[in-house]
Amino acid sequence: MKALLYGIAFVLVCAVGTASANDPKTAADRIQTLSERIAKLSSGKVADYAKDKVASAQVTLGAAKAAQAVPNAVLALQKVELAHIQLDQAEAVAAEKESAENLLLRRSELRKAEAQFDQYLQTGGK
Amino acid sequence: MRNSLISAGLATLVFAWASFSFAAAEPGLSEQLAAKKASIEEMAAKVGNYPLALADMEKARVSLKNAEQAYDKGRQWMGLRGLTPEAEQEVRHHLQMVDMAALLAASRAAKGRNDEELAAVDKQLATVKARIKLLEERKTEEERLRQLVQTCEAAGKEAAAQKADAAKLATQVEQLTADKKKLDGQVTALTTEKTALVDQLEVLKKQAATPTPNQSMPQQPASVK
Repeated sequence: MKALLYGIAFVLVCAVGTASANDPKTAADRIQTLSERIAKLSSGKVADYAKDKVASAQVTLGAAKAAQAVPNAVLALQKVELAHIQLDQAEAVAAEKESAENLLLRRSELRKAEAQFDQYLQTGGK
Repeated sequence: MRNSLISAGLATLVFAWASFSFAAAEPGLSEQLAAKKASIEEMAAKVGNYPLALADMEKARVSLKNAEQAYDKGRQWMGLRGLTPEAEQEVRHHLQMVDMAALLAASRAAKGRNDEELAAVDKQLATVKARIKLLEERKTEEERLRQLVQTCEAAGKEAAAQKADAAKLATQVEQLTADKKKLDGQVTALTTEKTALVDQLEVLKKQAATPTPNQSMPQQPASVK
């Protein structure tokens, strides 16, 4: 009976230990991944188009690190989740702005081509 | 009486406190939840059928559901004392995630629209460029033909000049042929005359070689000797 109680206690301790160790580890891994992602985005095209979004993600990641240091695993994971979606948003905004610029350029090109075509028609190709 | 008044006052204070708590935290989040739900559906109707945007809208819905669950789970005293601070934080976090996912969906939908429009503009541009190319090819062909016409005109003028020269030369040849014919006639006449004179001279020479006594020698000019 005593052995059974010890066994149950051991299993409980292991379960609690695993639970408490898993979350911070997951958060730490994700923080590392996000740090690398931010570093990559900060030097690329995304930084040109959505610098403020990347900066916001950087701030949120700082908050995640601070929460992990306390430690507050729940808050750390929330901040990681937020930083992740902020980076997604930075990429999406950058892609949107880039596509909008491309669209403007292409429209301008089309207008020029149409003007050239009209001129050809008016001058009879001379 | 006094105890009743005190009890009534305390009850009023408790009710006021409870009402304040309810008004300060819970209705704010409750209203936000309702507002987010409405805004998600409004946004979902606007994002169109772009797969990435639809996936983000689904994320927003999941976050809203998480927020609602956290809200329901975190209510204290059947909601009379509002939410626990942890629950409130969780609800606010999920609401923030709803906003972010909705913004993400809007960005991706905008990019999808831009890409579609870009494809349409590219198509138009290709058509106009093809037409311009056709006109340019026609212009080049026209220029080539114009030059060919100029070359032909120049060749025609040269041919006409050569024809005129040939006609002139033919006239000259005809004239020269006539002159030659005339000269040939003169030469023939002179040759005949010369032959006659030579014959006459021979006769005279023979007469001179056989003199007759009664006939005196004819006087010959000095040049005949």
